[in-house]
Amino acid sequence: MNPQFSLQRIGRFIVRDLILLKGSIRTVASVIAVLFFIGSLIGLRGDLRFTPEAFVGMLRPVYIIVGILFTFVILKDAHYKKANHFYFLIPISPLERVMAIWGATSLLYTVVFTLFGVVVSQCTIGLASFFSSVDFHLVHPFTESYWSLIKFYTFVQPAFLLGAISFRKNRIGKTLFLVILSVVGVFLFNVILCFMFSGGAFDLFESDPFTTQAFARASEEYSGIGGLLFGFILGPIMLWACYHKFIEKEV
Amino acid sequence: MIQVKSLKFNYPKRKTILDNINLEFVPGNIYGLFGRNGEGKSTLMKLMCGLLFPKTGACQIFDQPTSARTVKGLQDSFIVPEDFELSPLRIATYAKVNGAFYPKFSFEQFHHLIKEFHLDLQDFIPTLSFGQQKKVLIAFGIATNTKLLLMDEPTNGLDIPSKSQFRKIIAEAVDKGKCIIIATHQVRDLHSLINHLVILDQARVILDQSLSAVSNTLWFGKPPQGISEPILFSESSFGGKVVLPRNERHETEVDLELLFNAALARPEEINHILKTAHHEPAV
Repeated sequence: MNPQFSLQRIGRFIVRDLILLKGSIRTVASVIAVLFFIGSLIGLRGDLRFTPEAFVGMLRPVYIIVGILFTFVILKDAHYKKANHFYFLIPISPLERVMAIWGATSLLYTVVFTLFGVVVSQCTIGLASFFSSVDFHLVHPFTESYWSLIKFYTFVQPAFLLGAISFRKNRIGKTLFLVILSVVGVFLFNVILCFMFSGGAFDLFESDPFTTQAFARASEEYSGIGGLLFGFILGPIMLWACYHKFIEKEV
Repeated sequence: MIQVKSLKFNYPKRKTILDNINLEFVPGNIYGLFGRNGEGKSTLMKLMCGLLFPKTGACQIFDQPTSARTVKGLQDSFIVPEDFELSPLRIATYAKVNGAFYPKFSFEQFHHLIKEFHLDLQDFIPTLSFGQQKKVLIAFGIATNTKLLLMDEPTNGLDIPSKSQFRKIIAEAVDKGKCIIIATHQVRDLHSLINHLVILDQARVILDQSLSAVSNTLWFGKPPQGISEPILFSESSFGGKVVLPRNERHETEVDLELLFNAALARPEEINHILKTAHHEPAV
C-alpha cells in the first residue's frame, strides 16, 4: 500500500463520512423523495409525459442546494473543537482526504442523486399509471441540459469545498459572498476589457451604442472565458487550494 | 521515538506558552507530563501529535516532523484528548469505521477492554456519560496498538474505581515497543504507573527524570530525628513529609505529589542534586 496514496483508504474515509452522516442523509433523502414525488406529478400534467427537461428542471435547484449543504456538513468536524483532534489525526494523507471529500460530495453524490431522482420519478409514473390515464414510460435523464447542470456543479462545488475548509464561522454565507463577488469581479473585468476594445468609451449612463455593445460582448465573452475558467482552471485550482489548506490546518 | 528540540510555541497574540523545550521520549516507558493548569501540557501534546505546529524548533516522530502528519506517523500515534465528543454511533460501529485506518487495530482487544470498563459494544455513544465516553476512547486508543499513545488528562471524569481500572489497563498495555505519555495535573492518579516524569512550569521543562533516578537520589517521608543535612522541601499539608537527599538511607517510594511541589518550589536544587548524582537513563 502506498504510504501517502491509497484508494482503499479513500474508500474507507468516504464510508466513514457517510456512516457518520447516516441520520442526516436519511432525513434529507425523505424530504427530497417527497419533493421529487410532487415534482414528478407536476411534470406529468398536460401531455401526461415526464419529459427529460421536466426531470432536469425538478433536479436542478435541489441538486445544487443539497450538494452545497452536503459539502459543508461533511467538513463540520474539521471546525468543531471537540471533534477536530480525531478528524485531523485519522491516518490519511491530505491528498487522500481531498479526493475522498470531493469524491463523496461531487461524484458519488451526483450518481446517487440522479439515481434517486430517476427511481422516485419512475415510481411516481408507475403509481400515476395505476390511478390515472398516464401511460407507463421510462425517465430519460441524460440530456444536454442534464450534463450542463452536472458540469456546472462539478466545477463550482470545489469553490464551496474550499470555503467549507477555510472558514470557521458563517462558512456558507462567507463562501457565497466570495463566489458572488468573484463572478461580479470577472464580469466587471470583462466589461472593462470590452469597453477598452470598443474605443475606450466608459459612459455607462449615456445611450451610447458602445455601452450596449460592450455589455453584450461582456456577456458573450464571459460565457466563453467563464466556461474555460470553470471547466479547466477553477475546479482543479480550488481542489489544489483545499489540499494545501488541509496541510496547513492546525486545531 | 519522539524528539522535541528547542521548541517554542505561542498562540496568536498571546505570550509564549512553551519556550526552548528539549525532550526525548523513548519506547518502553510511561511518561507522566505534569504541570499546573495552563502551563502548556495540552499544547505540548498537540504539538507532539501534529495538531499544532512549532513556531521555532522541531518536534519529530520517527525522524519526521509531526506537523507533516504523514500516514505512517499517524498510523503509529494516537491521542486521547481532554475534551472531546465522539461520533453518534454504537460503540461497535465506532470501532469498525475508525479502527479500519489503524493497521494494528485489534477488535478483540477493544472488545475485551470495553467489557473490562463495564460497557457494551451495542451501547449508543451519545447516551453514555462523559466518563464512559472517555473509557471508549481510551479502549480505542489502546486497541489501535500505535507505538505512541498520548493521553491528556485521561482520568478526568473517571470515578474512583475506574481510575484504578485505568492504571491496571495502562500497565498491561505498555510493552517494549510502546511509548505512553500521560499529561495531567492530577499527579496522584498516576501513582505507581509512570516510570519517567516531565514537569512543565513557566513555559519550560523544570524536571525531566526517570523515577528510578529520583528514587535513587531523593528520599521521601517524615523527617527522621536529628537530621543534619538541609531539607530540600517540606510541606505541612502532607503530614509533615519532606524531600531529602537519599544518601545512605533506604530507598523510598517516590511521592509524586511531594516531588511535583518540590520541583515547582525549588527546581534548581532538585535538578542539581539529581544531575550530580548517578542516575539511569530511561529504559
